[in-house]
Amino acid sequence: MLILPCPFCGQRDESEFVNAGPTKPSRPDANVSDAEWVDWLTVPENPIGYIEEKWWHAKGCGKWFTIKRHTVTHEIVTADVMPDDVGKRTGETT
Amino acid sequence: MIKAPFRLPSGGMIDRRKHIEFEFNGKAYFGHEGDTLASALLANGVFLTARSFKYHRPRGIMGAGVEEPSCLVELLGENAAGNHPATTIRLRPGLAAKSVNCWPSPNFDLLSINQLFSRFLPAGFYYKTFMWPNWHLFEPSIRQAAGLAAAPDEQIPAQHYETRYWHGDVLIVGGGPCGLLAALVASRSGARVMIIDENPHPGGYLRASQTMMNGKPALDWITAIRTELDANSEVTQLWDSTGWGYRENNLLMVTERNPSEAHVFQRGWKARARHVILATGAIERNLVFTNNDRPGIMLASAVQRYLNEFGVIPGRLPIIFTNNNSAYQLAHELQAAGTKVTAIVDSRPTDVIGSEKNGLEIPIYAAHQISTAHGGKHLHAVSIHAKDGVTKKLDCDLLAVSGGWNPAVHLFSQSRSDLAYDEGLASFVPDKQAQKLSCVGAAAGMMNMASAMDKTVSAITTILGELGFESPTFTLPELVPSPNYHLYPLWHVDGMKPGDKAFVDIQNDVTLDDIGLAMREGFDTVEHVKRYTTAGMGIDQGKVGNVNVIGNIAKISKKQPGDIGTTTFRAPFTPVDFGSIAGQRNGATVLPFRHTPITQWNKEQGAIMYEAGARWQRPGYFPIVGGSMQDAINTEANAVRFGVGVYDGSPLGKFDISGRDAAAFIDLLYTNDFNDLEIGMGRYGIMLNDDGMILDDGVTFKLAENHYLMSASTGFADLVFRHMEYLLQVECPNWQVWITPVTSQWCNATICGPKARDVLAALGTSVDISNKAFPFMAMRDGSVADMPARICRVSFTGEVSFEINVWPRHAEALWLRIMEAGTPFGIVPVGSETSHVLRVEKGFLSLGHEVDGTVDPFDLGMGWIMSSKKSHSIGRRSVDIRRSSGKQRRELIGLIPESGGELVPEGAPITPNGDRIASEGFVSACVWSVVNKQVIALGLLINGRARIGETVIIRDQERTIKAIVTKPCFHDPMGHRLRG
Repeated sequence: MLILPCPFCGQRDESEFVNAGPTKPSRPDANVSDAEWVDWLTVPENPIGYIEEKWWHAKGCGKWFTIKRHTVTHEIVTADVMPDDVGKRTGETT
Repeated sequence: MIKAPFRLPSGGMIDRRKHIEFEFNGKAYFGHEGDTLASALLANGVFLTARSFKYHRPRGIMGAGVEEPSCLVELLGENAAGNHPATTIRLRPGLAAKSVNCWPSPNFDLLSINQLFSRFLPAGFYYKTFMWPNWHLFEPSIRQAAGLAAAPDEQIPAQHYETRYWHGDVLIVGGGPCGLLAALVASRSGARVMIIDENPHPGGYLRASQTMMNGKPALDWITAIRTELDANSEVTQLWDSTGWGYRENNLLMVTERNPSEAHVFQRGWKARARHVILATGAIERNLVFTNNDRPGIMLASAVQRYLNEFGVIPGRLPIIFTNNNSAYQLAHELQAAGTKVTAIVDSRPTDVIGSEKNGLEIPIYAAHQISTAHGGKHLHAVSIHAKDGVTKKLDCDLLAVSGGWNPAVHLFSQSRSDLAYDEGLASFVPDKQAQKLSCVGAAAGMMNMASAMDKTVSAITTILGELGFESPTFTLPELVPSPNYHLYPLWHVDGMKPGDKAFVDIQNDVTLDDIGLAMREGFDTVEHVKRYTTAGMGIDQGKVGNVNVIGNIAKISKKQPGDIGTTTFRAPFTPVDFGSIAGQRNGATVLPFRHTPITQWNKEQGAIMYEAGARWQRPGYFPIVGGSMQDAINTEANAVRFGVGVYDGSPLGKFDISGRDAAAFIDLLYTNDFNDLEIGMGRYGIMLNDDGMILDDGVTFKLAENHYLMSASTGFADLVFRHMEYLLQVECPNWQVWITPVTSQWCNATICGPKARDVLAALGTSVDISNKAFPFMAMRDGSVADMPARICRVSFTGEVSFEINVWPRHAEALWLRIMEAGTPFGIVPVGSETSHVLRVEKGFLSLGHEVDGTVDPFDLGMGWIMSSKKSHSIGRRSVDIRRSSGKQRRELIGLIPESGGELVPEGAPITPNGDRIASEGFVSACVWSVVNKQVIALGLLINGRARIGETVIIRDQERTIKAIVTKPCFHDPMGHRLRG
């Protein structure tokens, strides 16, 4: 059971959170090839070492955030609300 | 009362004034307060206590604590429990236990015949033999023969399990000399400290030996520390408690077996510390020679502990067999107790045997080994041989063996930290830490107590400094100098012949031969050897035998043990009751049920309540007097089809979505167009995941510009909410959209059936409910029965339906008014079983039935919902790619099974010709249709839409059922009725 640093609520027990897997590189734009799209969709990173992953503070403030966690030691080095390299959907209205 | 024949007249830490009667394998015995079941059995001369797992060989007690590989017992009566080592069970009045693995008794075990066939039971025997036609045919009888104890089938009366949390600075596992010292120093610094030990009393080796501290028995030192710790409110001491799991972020799982509160049977602790200190000591390993499992052969450390802690010497003619100098301490203590040790057989050469032998009046056979133990149900002699091959037979009834010590690195390894091989110890020691922890004492490979305690002090001083505490003053106890630990590894004795029964892993009956066989057959890494032979599995997890396994793999493959490495150490360190993990969180306390305001009314009507997804409790059906469940469902379904029914639709997921970009957001979520939706109207939509599979479906109403009310499936609403929050927070952070879950803010009663409009009119409403003014898929705000209400015309039944949404506080009043107003029309309440029948008749989707995460809208014949104008909706691209592959897919179809009126189990596979081969589809739902008066079903079938009219075959275990493929709609295909 991890202790996770919610950027809003501080150190909280893992049972309050939902894990949504590793963060992906930015969402590819519409003109990438089918192979590239499928690769983006289905090939997640699985390193021995630091991985950036998405968590949702479902039973807390409700925020989505990312952390960088070591998959062996579970050391957590950063926690961020929205790091720059999470894909932003194109066609935003602002 | 018969005197226990192997109990010494004095000595030990038992309370000789208190006699405790207990029962073992149906016979009554006496022991003392402070005994374990094992020590009491040994005191009474009960040496044959078990049969082995595979060969049913006679076995006795080998260890004295958690390392015990051999004597597992099942506790009977109140507080029944299975598979506990007899060495860890505290004697208590009324204790009743029996051996596992033997029937009818360990002395006369019918399955001991397996010994005669042992050459036919090599490693991997089961895998090789029971392959045809399949394993499951053989499994029950093999489990019967090879299984351990049965699980208890009753709850513990009058007591319960509970869970407690602890957060602190320093957590120390192990209450031996180094653990106690660490606790003392840490507590004096003001830190919050927890110390745990698996034994009822701390002390570890100090209790098992005659160690002197400051010129006095070590017990005095322990008592002084305990007195000081007792007075410190920041210190939690847990004795008779095992830290069995090391989890992430320094979380230790601890089971406290005998809490002081009488009503608590066991307490599970979740203890989290800023720094963990493992002072878990070391576990002795055995030596590998022929018949090294005979009752009467024990670990030297166990004999020493029985002598000093329990006042028991379990034999009259002891011999010691060792490859190191630690067992000499036992020789000294036995000699002091007046017992004549026949011999010490030491595999090391004379010149390395040092001061440990000073003062012993015992023949020492240096550079000798034991080749064979003699005796069946009990040891009576051993054959020893010298390096030059000369053999000799010595009588004995107790053989104390020591193959060296393994640091207890189990928790260290569970913390994901690395181990390293230490040549001097011939064992694995802690290397690189993965978390904030330290090992001290024997657990760190430091076998000399004085220097280990010295190093403990420097370790704890550093830790306290890092945690921000000042190190206090204290004095180390004075110890009698002892020789440094010295050993020569002996992975097995010389001159072994094939077929010799020399056990490497006693608990799992794994012999040296088995290891050799596994490696000859290509299973030559340690992980493969473990799985092929089962060495290191089971309840003891190879505490005694694992390093011998590794040593022998190394020897056979001519490598170093360090190159072989260890298998993974897994939790739990010792057997744990599931109850102590669950605590009081059982049943609905784990995940509480959700109820609507109608629950009480439903129960009063005698409804059978089910979970309808996401823990919502709904009535399954309303039983009718003298009728079956099917009769009740038919009555309800007939009412909806031909009269009127009402169901409580409150659990349906509902979201209020508003904000500047709400319309764009709805457009992004759903595959179909919502741009032309008018205010006051709703539209059915399907939302996909990025992989193009269906996430959920439901109706969304437009309340105003950029203001929507979305409904989601009961069981999937939480997932939909998460999906939407993710999109808004991560992928569209600049969009202005607010989502408010309003599932519990709107309760609804859905009146459905041809007479639904009549009932609504009778209730009285401010809304014009004529079909022209209030068409299908419209919603109106107004009042119903004088209550503020929002009425929606949607239908999940195929009949005219009015979904009347009111505030939760009005829900019950509305419900009662509906039942009252509906009585003249014959209204009946409808449960979820009937909702299921009605939607199957109509071919409406149900998440979890037809939609199982592997289908997209085209598979369901709903390609029309994929708007050709939209390329940007989520999942669109993946659907397009899948479609362009041209592969045949499973498609939604209807089925009319020829089952003679009997329902086909949902999930039953459809296979080509009904053969036992890969399926071509499955039955997703099957009901008795009240309108068709026959069994109907929905299913998914390869290329199904092109196969309408074909007969396919459903396989239901042993039987096959023919079924005709139809369109997936059995009632009112044009939808005239629901629009009426």
